[in-house]
Amino acid sequence: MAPKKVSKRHSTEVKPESLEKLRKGTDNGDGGSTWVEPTTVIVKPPDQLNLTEKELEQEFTRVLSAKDPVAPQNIVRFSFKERLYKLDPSVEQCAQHFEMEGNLLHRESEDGKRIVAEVEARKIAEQRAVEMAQMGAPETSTEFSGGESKKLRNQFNYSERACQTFNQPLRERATITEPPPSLTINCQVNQWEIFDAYVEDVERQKLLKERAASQQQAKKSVANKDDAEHDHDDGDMKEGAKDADIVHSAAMSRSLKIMERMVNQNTWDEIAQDYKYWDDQSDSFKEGEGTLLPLWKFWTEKVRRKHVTALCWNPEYNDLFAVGYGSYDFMKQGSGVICCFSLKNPSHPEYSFTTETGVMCLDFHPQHSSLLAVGCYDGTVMIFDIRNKLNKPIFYSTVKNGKHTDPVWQVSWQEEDLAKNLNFFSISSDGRVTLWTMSKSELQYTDVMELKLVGITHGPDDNSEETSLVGLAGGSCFDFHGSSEHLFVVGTEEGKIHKCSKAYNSQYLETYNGHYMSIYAVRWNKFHPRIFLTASADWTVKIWDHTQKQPLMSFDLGNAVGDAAWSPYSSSVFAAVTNDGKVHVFDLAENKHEPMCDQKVVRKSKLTHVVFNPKQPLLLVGDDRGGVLCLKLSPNLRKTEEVRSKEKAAASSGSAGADAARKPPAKKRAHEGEQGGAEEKVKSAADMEIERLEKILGLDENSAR
Amino acid sequence: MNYPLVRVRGEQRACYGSDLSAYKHTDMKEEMRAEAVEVIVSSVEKFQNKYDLAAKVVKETMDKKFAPNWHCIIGQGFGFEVMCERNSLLYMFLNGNLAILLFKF
Repeated sequence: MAPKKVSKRHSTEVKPESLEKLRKGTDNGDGGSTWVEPTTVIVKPPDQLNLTEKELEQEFTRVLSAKDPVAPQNIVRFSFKERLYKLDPSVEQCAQHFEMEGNLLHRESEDGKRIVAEVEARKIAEQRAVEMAQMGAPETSTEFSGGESKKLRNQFNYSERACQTFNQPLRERATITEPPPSLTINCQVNQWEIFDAYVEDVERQKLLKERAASQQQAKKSVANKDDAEHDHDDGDMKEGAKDADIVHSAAMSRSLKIMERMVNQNTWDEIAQDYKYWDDQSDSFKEGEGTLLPLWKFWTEKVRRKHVTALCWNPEYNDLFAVGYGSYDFMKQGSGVICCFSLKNPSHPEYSFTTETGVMCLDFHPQHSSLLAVGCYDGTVMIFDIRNKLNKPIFYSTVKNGKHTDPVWQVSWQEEDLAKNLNFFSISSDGRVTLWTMSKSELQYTDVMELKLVGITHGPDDNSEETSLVGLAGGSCFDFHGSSEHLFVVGTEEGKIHKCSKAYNSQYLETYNGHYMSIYAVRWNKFHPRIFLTASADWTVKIWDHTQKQPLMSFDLGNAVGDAAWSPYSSSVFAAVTNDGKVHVFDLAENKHEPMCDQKVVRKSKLTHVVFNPKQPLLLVGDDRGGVLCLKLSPNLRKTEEVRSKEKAAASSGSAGADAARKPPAKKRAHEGEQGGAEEKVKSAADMEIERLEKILGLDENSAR
Repeated sequence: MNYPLVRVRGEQRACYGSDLSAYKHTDMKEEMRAEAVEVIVSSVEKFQNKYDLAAKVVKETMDKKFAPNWHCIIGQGFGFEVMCERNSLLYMFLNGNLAILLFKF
């Protein structure tokens, strides 16, 4: 079958050749006469089998079945249902060789018939329309033309209606926020670095532990200090703490001390300049008046709400002084403090010691300047060695070795005795004047005087009875005579003054009546051997000659006088402080009745004590709030005999050199002359001082009388 | 029980549950740091030698607790140069052999 088909196809393909021939024939010929009928030429492919007629006639019977011999018979599929491979029984026999979608329809089919009918119907309709048009029926033609026009509508014949709306312009809005703050970090880590970090950490922790331990120890020692328990461990503990860390070591404290002084020097530079060089210029034309220039104020937190009860300059170091703090208020007693300040460091005491009860008095030893005798409110006397810096006295009196039973009001060092033992006196309200001797191991006491009460009106016989019943007078102050060393005067709380001698312990050499209230201070004149002054709560300061029973002079200061002191440079100058905060400085040579200077130096507190510096023109005053104020005396307040005589000489010669004579260098020289080696000069100066005072007080006539 | 001390800029505080840990550097705030240390210590303890898992847990926990994008590196030795937000860096050593870097960016 197939070869036949092939031949047929070949024969059809040949056709164009014959057409070409045909065309040639028409081209060549000159009319239709040359037209040749096309002939079919059978062209066989060269490899076509040449079969004989017989062979062609032969019939081969072939049965065609729907079985695909190539289709695989043994397809095996995995059955998920039964979870095994299974032979697929159905074999796909269908093979599709060619497929084409056609759009031809069979004429006889339903669809074909329908389409033929439609086409014919349209043809008929057209024909009828043409016929009608020929007939010329207007109605129908219009009708048709309408239909026609509808159909053939001009595609451009329409009007478009539209309007353009306003386009909203687009707006883009954005903000950029700050990126969160970042940082870049880089590092490298490995095992040995981690190890190092741990080792370092362990060491640091060890250090911290040590520091904590030492701090605790320090705290303990401080606590001990505060307790003021004089147990022996105290020193050792502090010592241990000092060794523990560098910050609290001795070397560090030394450098800190230097630093502190440097800072203070800077801070108080102006005051230091004033102290050294400034003098009140108005003094040169103000006769009989003087001023006090306040310099440093010494105060520490430790002494808040304590009274300054004692002031004492160190005899060796002119810038060092000790201040005793306690309380004069019977109801408000507390612990006591002793602070040693230096003028070079007003902010912090050089040394400080605490005592169980308030300090009432203190005194530096004139030769052994580190020894400080202290009397307390509970009657104890102590000796501190300030070199030790321990918060512990080297000697102190106990009930066993005869301590006073009432506050000790004054202590005073004496010359060494025959055995070269140091000794000092103390006076107390319990009526005893006691001599304390420092032996090697303990403090020995001797009662030098018992202050018996003396009635003015009583006769000598009933006097002894009375005293034994009533008891003893309360001593409040005393002072030893400068030259005749057995002699001393005692002031009492009753207002009486007794002249006593160390030699007679039962009797007064003399009793002076004149004060009506407690006597706070009694002082011998620094130059004149017979003159002393007393300061009392009855508002007066009185000047006495110990040979006379009546006072030579009396000054009413208008308020209780806390303390009074003679100046060390002039026989006629003394200072007194009163409860209203005023310092009164008198120069009897200038004015016998009124003070040279009457200056309020503290605002609210009461002044309790006053003391002159032995060398410098300085005055220390203490108040009842723990403050100590340093004052500088103006030139008019510190005139010595030498200055005066020079002035007098200048005045008599009529030259105008008075001013020059007042200048500090001259005065300073005078001081040096007084204190220094020039024996004659000292004598003459001292004698002149005595003479002057006698003249002032009119003692020549008095003694003659 | 004696807790080892953790040092942060000189101050000391006890760190719970770890053998020994030390801050090398941190600029975190107090609460965040405490939280972070706790997370790190517990996760390292939980996952022992699986540092990757521990780091993942730390990162996820921190993301949950303090807003996302935390990064955590745990290892015995590494180098890094990172950019991170301020007040969110913690670099610490743990257990004597681990370095831990935790930061946010």
